[in-house]
Amino acid sequence: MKKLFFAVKLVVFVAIFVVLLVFASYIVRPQSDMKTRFTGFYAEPKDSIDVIVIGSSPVAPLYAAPLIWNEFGITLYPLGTNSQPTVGIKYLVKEAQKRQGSSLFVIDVSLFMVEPQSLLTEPNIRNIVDNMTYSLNRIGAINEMVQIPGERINYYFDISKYHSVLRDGELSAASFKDFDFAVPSVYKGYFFVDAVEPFDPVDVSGITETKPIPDESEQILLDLMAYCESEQLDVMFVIAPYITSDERKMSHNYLQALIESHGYTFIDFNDKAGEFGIDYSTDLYNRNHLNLSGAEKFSMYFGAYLADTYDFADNRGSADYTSWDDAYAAWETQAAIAREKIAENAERLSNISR
Amino acid sequence: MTFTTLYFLVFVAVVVLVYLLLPQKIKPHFIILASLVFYFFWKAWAPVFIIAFALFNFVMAKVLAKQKSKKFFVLLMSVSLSVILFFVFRYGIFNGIIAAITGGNTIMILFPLGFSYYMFKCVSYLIDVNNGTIAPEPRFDYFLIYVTYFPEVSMGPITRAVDFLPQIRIKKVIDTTALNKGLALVAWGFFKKIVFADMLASMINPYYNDLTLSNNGFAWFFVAFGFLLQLYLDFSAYTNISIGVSKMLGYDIKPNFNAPFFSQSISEFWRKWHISLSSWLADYVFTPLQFLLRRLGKFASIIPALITFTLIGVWHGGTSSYLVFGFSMGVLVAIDAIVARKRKKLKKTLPKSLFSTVGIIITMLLNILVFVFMRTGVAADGFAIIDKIFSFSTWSLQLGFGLEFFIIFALSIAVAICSHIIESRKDKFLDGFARLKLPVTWLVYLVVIFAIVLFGYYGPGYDAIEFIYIGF
Amino acid sequence: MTREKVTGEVQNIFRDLFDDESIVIDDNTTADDVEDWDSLEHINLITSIEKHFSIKFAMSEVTHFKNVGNMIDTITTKVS
Repeated sequence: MKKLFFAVKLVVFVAIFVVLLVFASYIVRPQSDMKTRFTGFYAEPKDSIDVIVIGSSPVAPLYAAPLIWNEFGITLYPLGTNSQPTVGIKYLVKEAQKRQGSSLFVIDVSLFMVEPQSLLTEPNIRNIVDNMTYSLNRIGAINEMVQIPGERINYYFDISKYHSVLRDGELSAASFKDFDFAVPSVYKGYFFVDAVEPFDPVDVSGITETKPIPDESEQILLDLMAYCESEQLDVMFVIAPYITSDERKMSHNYLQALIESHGYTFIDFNDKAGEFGIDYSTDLYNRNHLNLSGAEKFSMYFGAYLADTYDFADNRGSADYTSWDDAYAAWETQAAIAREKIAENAERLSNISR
Repeated sequence: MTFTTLYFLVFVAVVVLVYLLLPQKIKPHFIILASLVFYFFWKAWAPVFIIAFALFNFVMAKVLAKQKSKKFFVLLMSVSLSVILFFVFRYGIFNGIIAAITGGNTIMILFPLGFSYYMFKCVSYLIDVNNGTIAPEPRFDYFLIYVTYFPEVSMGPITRAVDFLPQIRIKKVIDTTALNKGLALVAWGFFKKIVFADMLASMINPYYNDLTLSNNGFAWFFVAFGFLLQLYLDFSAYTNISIGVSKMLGYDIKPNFNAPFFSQSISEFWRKWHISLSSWLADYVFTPLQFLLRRLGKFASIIPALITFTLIGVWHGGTSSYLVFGFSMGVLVAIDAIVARKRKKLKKTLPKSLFSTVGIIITMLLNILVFVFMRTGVAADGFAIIDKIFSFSTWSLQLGFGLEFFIIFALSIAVAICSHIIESRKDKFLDGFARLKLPVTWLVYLVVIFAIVLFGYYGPGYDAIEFIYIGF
Repeated sequence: MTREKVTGEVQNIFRDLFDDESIVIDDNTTADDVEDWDSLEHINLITSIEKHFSIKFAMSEVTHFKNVGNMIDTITTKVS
């Protein structure tokens, strides 16, 4: 009887320890826009997000969720991480499904043109898994992306990587609110950039040839589409606008053929640049990313597309969605500042070039 | 398997849980199994070696007990195997020949993990059988437990057969108090090693690796002091874990440390530091030599001191540095013997607190200097560091250490003092801990465990720091 | 010599050696009970006893001394 009591005590103690360990792990994870984005995602009520965008760094500055909400009443949330390994996309879809089962998934496939191996670096992997809550899905993601089994334990217990922040005295008081990894995001995951780098307009609409993507990438994409099909998910595939090239365009075409042959919608936004009115001299901050100015134009265009193509309920005015109104108000304030900054930057740059 | 790893914790958890559920008769055999598995994790061939070695000593003990004549000769032969093997492994003698024969197969050249320790166990066993202190163990399986016992096999303590073998036959009643105490000791060991010893090591290792890092004698004093602290925290932590695991298995192991830095003389220090080793050498080398030479007055202690402590040096390692370490300690103990009378007179005339304080400080300073040789692989480096420390003209307050260094150093001293107080109170602390109410116990465990998780020296970006004494 | 006499003489040796007239020994006294009775003094104790009683100990006898009582037993045997 005493032995049983001891066993029970042991189990309870271990349970308390595990819970505290989880809290501590979430707290010491480094602060970044990605952590804010993901803790914001977990904080959203279940089945409240209409559209979830998954992809790498172009996503976060491009999809202005609060703007789309305000104009079209559609809730959208970006799950972008830097240099996102393509093999990780499926796990992010699975993660999102847990709380948002019936969303439309918009998956950016830009990085499928790249050798998957080159993406599997520690920072890229951790950008995904160290922004997920602990679950079997996270373990699966780690097992697939971390190829040396001996290394995995440092990923399962990411606290082993980040705990030095305490010893170094660098933990901020603000981090403590992350203990349950659910903190609403002020801008619904949006990432402001007001820098400008001017480019000459790019028009590759005339390119129709195809260039195959790496074999391993194609395998991952096929696997992803098979998963989406088996789950009967609403999915569309896109490529964000950027400074592309003829050769790249051929890869886009290849992706288009492949994706459409599986019955999914594919949109290359580089072809639609004219339609949403991009100004290559002011709307980008580097070759691969649009700034706020570009994001606004794009988001209006994309929002309209979504509204026309899909039948989302318009929840504007609903009491359950007031956080989105607040997000828009905050977003608009910040956007106004960014717009001015962009105008200044653009002016300064055009003066230089003169 | 290094003690302060997750793997070892899991290993111990599994072993203890299964052990608790097994019937009494099989419990000892399960320890053999666990110990051989533990040893297997180090090298696949190692279990074969340790079993063979144990078997040899087991048989020789039986022969010795039956022997009527030429007992000493038989003892000498049996002990010789251990001594010869020790020197072969320690100095890599025959490495060249073996490599040639086995075609460069390095398996034969490696030093079996913990051989220094269990070899001493076996030699003490043979000697004790020879002089009638203990009857030879009739069961090989029980003797095998003694030799392979995993909490002790890699780094001691060197428990005597006379203290261990009888315990195998005692019915094991491991109640929750024993488990609680065992766990507390293990947690305490982990805490000392991972939060402090390893952290200290990471800060002072660069200095030992590059003697040009500083020319400030004061800084080198800190480095030397830091190493001694690190060594104590490291090794006493290991012993805590070893004794703690043993408690959970129902075995009572004698402590290896008894507040060594509170010693007022080097002689006293060696009664309180690495006790299982120093008492072994005292009982089997020092005291017999002393007895043989007893007609020589003071030399009856001086010569055995020099021999015994030089042997301690050699036991630790084969380089010149360890020789200097050992011999220096021998000289200091010999000096203790020489000035013993004068010291006693001084003790009577001076106030007690002054006498003891000065004694502690001098002993500490001597240790800081001599233990430098325990760390440098080469005697020349050791002398260079001593030289730097004594270059008082170089002493300045520009130490080149960050604030972090001082905080960790100070905290390490505090933890070492706490550890000393706990050791000097023997089991009182553990008894007191076991009596605490449940929420308090849990709180203490959670605080200690999270101190380790949050402040410990582990994870990617930290180089693993092996227990120091595992290299001996 | 009787055991008691041996005990008395051994006690005097202790008092002389450790320069402490207050020392009282009995059969259960061990090194833990007498201050300064360490391994360096122990050999002095042995040689003092050998000298005083004109006896010689064997190594095996000395290693089996667990307390003063054992010592006194051995001495008594040797002087009878």
